[in-house]
Amino acid sequence: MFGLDLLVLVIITSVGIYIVGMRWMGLQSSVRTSLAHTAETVGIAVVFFVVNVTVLVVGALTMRALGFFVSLYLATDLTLAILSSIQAVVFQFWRYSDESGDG
Amino acid sequence: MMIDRLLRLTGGVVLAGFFIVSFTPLSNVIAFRLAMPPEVAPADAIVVLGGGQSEEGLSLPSLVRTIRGIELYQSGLAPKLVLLGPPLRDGGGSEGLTRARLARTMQVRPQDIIVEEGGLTTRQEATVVQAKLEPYAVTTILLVTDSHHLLRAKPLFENVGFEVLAAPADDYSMLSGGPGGRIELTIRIVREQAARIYYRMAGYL
Repeated sequence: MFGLDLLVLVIITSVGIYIVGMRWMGLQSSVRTSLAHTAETVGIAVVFFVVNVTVLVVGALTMRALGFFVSLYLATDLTLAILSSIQAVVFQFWRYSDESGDG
Repeated sequence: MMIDRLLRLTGGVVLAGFFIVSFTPLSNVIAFRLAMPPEVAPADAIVVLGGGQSEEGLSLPSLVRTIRGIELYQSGLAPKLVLLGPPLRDGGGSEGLTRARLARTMQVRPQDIIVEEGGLTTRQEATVVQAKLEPYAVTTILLVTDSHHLLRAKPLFENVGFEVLAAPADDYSMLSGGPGGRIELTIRIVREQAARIYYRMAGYL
């Protein structure tokens, strides 16, 4: 009900990967820290999304003022949320690479 | 750092919101409360708002709205069926004409079909329909579009002088049962609420 079967599936696979990570891959750091970094990355994705939507809306309204029609519905396309998430992940890796002196 | 903490808090709230939206019926409840109830009764014309068209054909919302309009016409609720929708960007046939072809195959009399290709936004649609229907002395219309879109569309058509009866083409609150459907439903709700805010700020509502 309510798609909870999907949630149960993801919980089971998460527990599985936790066991694999601890026993076979030797991962030592806290999952809590990883969750905090994940929340941070999502927060950055929100910032990118807001910036993207703002630029799109301003651009669309400017184009309309110039006589070219651009739909504002583009701002709610799910693809924009996914692209913003990709931007956030790349940005985070860039930040961490810079901090650790990688690359 | 303060910014990192703020980002974590924002991310945490968004993640919590994602789980609530996906795995609880909250969006269905909100959609049900926001949807305009049907006010179906005899009118002078049925006006079916545009819903989008690509090279492949009518979009799903466009198709659903058209079928609802044809259903109302076949029920004898109005003598005229007004089908909206602009031409494709590359100059191909219009959504309105595609809908008219479909209506003819479903036994709508060609002389009862009025195609309007002018409006690109809901506000423009209200204006072009008012001009198009002026010679027919239409005062009452059955307005066909999505149940949430009606909240914005109905006052716009009333502003140009019509008495408007709402004829929702859908019941999204009942259709979206799974997590994916509820996310889609939430996007629809957010999009329509954002559009209403924009229309209010611009002074259209």
